[in-house]
This record gives sequence, structure tokens and C-alpha cells, in this order.
Amino acid sequence: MNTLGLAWAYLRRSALTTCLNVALLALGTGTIVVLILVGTQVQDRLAKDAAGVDLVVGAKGSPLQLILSALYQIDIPTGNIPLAQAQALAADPLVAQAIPVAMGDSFRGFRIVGTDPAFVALRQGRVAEGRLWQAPMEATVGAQVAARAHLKVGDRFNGNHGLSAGGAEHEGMPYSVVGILAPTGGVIDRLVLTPIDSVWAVHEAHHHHHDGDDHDGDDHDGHAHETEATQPPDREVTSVLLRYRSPIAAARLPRRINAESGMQAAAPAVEMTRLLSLVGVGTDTVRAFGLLLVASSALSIFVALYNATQARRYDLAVMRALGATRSRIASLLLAEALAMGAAGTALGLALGHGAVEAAGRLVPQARDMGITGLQFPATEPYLLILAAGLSVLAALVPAIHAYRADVSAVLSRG
Amino acid sequence: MPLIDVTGLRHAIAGRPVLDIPHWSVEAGRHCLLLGPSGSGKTTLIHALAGLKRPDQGRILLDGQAVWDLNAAARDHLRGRLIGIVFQTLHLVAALDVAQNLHLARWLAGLASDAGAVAKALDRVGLGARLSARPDQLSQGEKQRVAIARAVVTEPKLILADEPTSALDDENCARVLDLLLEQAAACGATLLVATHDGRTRERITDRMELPRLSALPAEGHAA
Ligand SMILES: Nc1ncnc2c1ncn2[C@@H]1O[C@H](COP(=O)(O)OP(=O)(O)O)[C@@H](O)[C@H]1O
Ligand SMILES: [Mg+2]
Repeated sequence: MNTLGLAWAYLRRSALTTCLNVALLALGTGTIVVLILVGTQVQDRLAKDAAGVDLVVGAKGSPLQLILSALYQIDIPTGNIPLAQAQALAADPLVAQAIPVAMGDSFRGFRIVGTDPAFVALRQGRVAEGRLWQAPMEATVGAQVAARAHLKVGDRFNGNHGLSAGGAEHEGMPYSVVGILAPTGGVIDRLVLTPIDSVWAVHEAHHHHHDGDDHDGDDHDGHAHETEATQPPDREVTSVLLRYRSPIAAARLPRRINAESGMQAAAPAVEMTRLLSLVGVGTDTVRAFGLLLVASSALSIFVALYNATQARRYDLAVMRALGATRSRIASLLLAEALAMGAAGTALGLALGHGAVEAAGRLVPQARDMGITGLQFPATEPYLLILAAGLSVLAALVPAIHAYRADVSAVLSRG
Repeated sequence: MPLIDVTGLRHAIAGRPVLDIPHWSVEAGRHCLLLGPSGSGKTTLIHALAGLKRPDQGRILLDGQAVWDLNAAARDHLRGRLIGIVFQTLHLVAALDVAQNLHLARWLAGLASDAGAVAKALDRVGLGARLSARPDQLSQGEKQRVAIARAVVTEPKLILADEPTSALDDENCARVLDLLLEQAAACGATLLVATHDGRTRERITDRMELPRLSALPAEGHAA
């Protein structure tokens, strides 16, 4: 027999109330844990994948869509822009670096991106095995692509038409794997990188093959090659990732591109701030809801313990008669509250991490974002302290009541 | 040295005198009846002895220690170590089984956990086979025996029993008295039985009579 054993006996005796309190607290902390986990991971991820890119130039359309597709590889591209205009941008004195990106195909759901080797450096990628691509139809694949598709250096594979799995296979023009990148945790892990020429070559062959065919339509907006004229092709890219030479460029370049060309320029920083402020309203609401759940569970623990001290007045008085000090009685009630608090928080942490991990594995969008429940943010200990503090607070009034109770009066009335 | 030594004890409740005991002592190992009609202050005296109710005046020595000169925690420890109490309404802790009720008493008395002592105490009251029964699975007579076992499992020097037989028929009254006397003898404890039940008189010869100092308010002829 000890305080915890005794607390446990009482908690078990009112199992239904105990479970309700624990469940309430678990839901509250779980909700907050999910928000913290997803929030920090999405923001980290967004910041990391935008590093080194000041401006994204692509076809007209939604600027957010342009950023999401070109930088984060989550949305479909807004369309394509002529290669000549992209090359003109690279030569602009305001531009320090311009990396073209051409998309349209995929391999088992992983996007095939035609680009310069500078793209790898931009994304802080490193070759783990083999080398970077040099000639057309050579591919260097991201760590996750290699792992999930079991690709080794020297393997060959066909691309699929369209950006998601399930498109028609491009037969007769296989890519050969010349290198595998080390994992970065960023979007590059999920890309198949190849020279832009490969993308053009595949699509020229494709169009040749399907001469006169209508394209199926779905997932087709992002096609690097939209023209039916094959001889000579008007070469296109999907977007260009720019780095400014000086801060002045930020003031001039986007305005000039948007006003004077058929292209669209979008700054990742601006679009992401806008997106996060929109999403932020939602997460604030959910966070408030989570805190409300935690607060109501604390209230419910308070009510449960308060009722318990009334219902158990005689028990507590008998314990005093058996030699229990006032503080022992008070600490019994605190122990019950803390046990519920600890169980609820632990369950909430497990639920939250479990839910995020499950989403990271089962929901394709979350998987693409690299969401994992196996990350433990530095804010989590505070959540534990918050829950423990609230449950102690909930037990305080009942504990003081029990501490002050007139044992003799209770016993003689009993 | 007497185990109980009371001098100049006075207590009033709501202005009406309840206790007035100039001197009273009980030698260690004796069995004593605390007699008096309902409302004569028996429960009040038991609570004052046990350190549960501070009297207005007077000194109470238990085993040589002035109960009401100790600080609250020390008084609680003294009660746990020295005294075993049996209440009229038994009151076992319903959330715990029979053995756990006894373990609880030993733990609160500051004694080491001892399953052997618990089993032995229950064996002595004939409940050696009901260790893991819940209080609500027991008959009234069994509960009574658990309550007595719980009072003696801490090997107290003083057993205080407040109206242990008042609600019982003759047969059970005799049985409970036997049990109390037997258990007190087994651990060499002093036994004080507070009662207005005349049936106890033949069994215990030492006695302390409390007069009723004020009329019961419920009886309607208070001065
Ligand atoms: N908590 C209380 N409030 C008011 N009066 C009380 C209280 N406790 C006891 N009394 C009064 O004190 C007197 C003695 O009570 P008690 O010690 O219980 O007597 P006994 O146990 O001999 O019946 C009675 O008149 C009773 O009504
Ligand atoms: Mg009484």
C-alpha cells in the first residue's frame, strides 16, 4: 500500500469518470500535438525548399500554384513558358542565377524533373552513389525514389505520362540511373532529375508516336511540350527559379516580368506568407479548440475530485483516524489528479504522434510533404507541464477541503 | 504508569458543557467500559483521547505523551502508532479489498508492509479465507470482524471502540465483545469500550461512568 496504489484503487472504483477525464485530456493534448507537429514540419519544409530562390517565373495563372508546383512539387504547374524567354531571363543583369525546370512525366508517382545540375546544389543535395546526370536520358534519383522503387545505379526505367502515377508509360525511351542522391529531408528526395533535353526528347517521341491523338487531359497542364508542331519544336520549360544579383532586383524584376511578358513572376516569400496567414487562421482556431478541450478536462477532473471528496468524506476521515496526516490526505487527491493528468497527456501524445505518423504514411499529400509523427518538438515538455499544472490546480481546492476537514465531526455524524 | 491519564478535562459544545472529568486514568492492559446515556459525551471523549477533537481545557496523557501538546502531524503519527479505533458504523474503505483495508491501516500507522501480519490478523477473526473479498461482498458480522482486525493489525497499545455492539442482537453483541476482548488480550492492548448498551456490563468490570451534563436538545427540555 502506498499513495499511488491507493489513488489507483479509487480511480479504478470510479472507472467511468476516470476514463472520461483521461479521454478528454487525451483529445485536447492530442489535438495540440498534431498542430505542433504538422505546423512545425510544414513550415520547416516550406522554408527549406524555398531557400536560395528569390523568384519563380512560369506561365500565367495562380501565383500560389506556380510556387507550389515549381518549388514544392505539390500542385500541378500553371503551364509552360518558351525556352527563349527563360534564357533571356538568365542573361538579365539583375539575375545572379537562373535554373530552368521542365516537368510533365513521372515514375511511380515521383516527378521527373528536367533541369541543370545547379538545381542539386540549390537544394543542398549530394551524390551518395554514382554521379550527376550528363547526357540525355541519364537520371540521378532522389534518396526516397531509389529506396521505394528499389533503383540502383545502372537500372533502367520508363517514365509515365503525367505527374501522378497511372499515366501511360513512355515505352522505348528508358532512362538509365547514373546516380543516387543522399537523403536531404527536402523535396529533392522525391524527384527524378535528368537533363532538360531528356524531357524534350521523350515528348517529341511521344507526340510523334501519338500523332493526331488527343491528349487525355488529366494531369496534362504541366506538360513540358504542348505544341503539336514537332519539326522544329518550340522548346519550352515549365518554370525558372531565379536568384537576384542585388536587392534592387526584388523591386524591379517581378513587376517588369508580370507587366511586360506573357509570363508570371511570383516571390516564394510573399506567397508563402500569404498562404500561412490564411492557414494560420484555421490552425489558431483548432489550437484554441485543443486548449478548450484541455481546460474542460481540467474542469472535469476538478468536478470529479470535488464530488469524490464529498462522497469520500467518511473514507478520508477514517484514514485520518487510522493515522493519516492532513498532508497525506491532500497528496492522495493530488496523486489521483496527477495520475489522470499524466495518463491523459501520455495518451494524447501517443494519439497525436500516432495520428500524424499514420497521416504521413497513408495520406499521399502528407507523404509527399515528408510528414512524420516520429519527431519530438521542443515545445512538447511544456505541454506535459501544462497538463500536470492544470491537474494539480484542479485537485487543489478538493485537497484543501480534505486537508481542513473536521474529522471528529464527520466521524460522529457518520 | 497508566496508559490513559486525564486531568481537568472540560469541554463544551455550543455553550453546553459536555465533559467535566477532574481526574481519570486507566492502567496499561486493562479493559474498561465507558458508560453513559446517549449525549453524555462518550464519543467526544473518545475523539479527544484519539487526538481528533481538541478539548477546551485539560491534559490528556497517552502512554506518557501529552496528546494535545504535540503538533498536528506528530499527533496523527501518535494515533496511528498507538491506537486502533473501531467505529459503530464500521466503515471499511469500499474501494479496497479486505486485506488492503488492513494494509492501509499498517501503512498509515507508518509500519512496514507485512502480508504475514495482515493474514494473521484476519485469521484470528476467522476471515483467513476472505482476504480478497470486497467489503460489499461481506455480511454485517464479517464486516464487524474486519473492522476489529483492522484496529488490531497495527498492534496498538490502546483499542478504542465506540458503541461496537449497540446495533447488534444479543448473540452478535456477545460475539463482538468476545472478539474485542480476545484481540486486545492477544496484542496486550488496553481496551476502552464506549457504550450505553447494558449488555456489556457483565463482561467488563472496570468502568468509567459519564453523567449527562446537559439535556439533549432533541429532547426539548433544555434549560
Ligand atoms: N458536531 C456537533 N455539533 C453540535 N453538537 C454536538 C456535536 N457533536 C456532539 N454534540 C453534542 O455533544 C453532546 C455529546 O455528544 P456525544 O459525545 O456524541 O455523546 P455520546 O457519544 O455519549 O452520545 C451531545 O449533546 C451532542 O448533541
Ligand atoms: Mg456516541
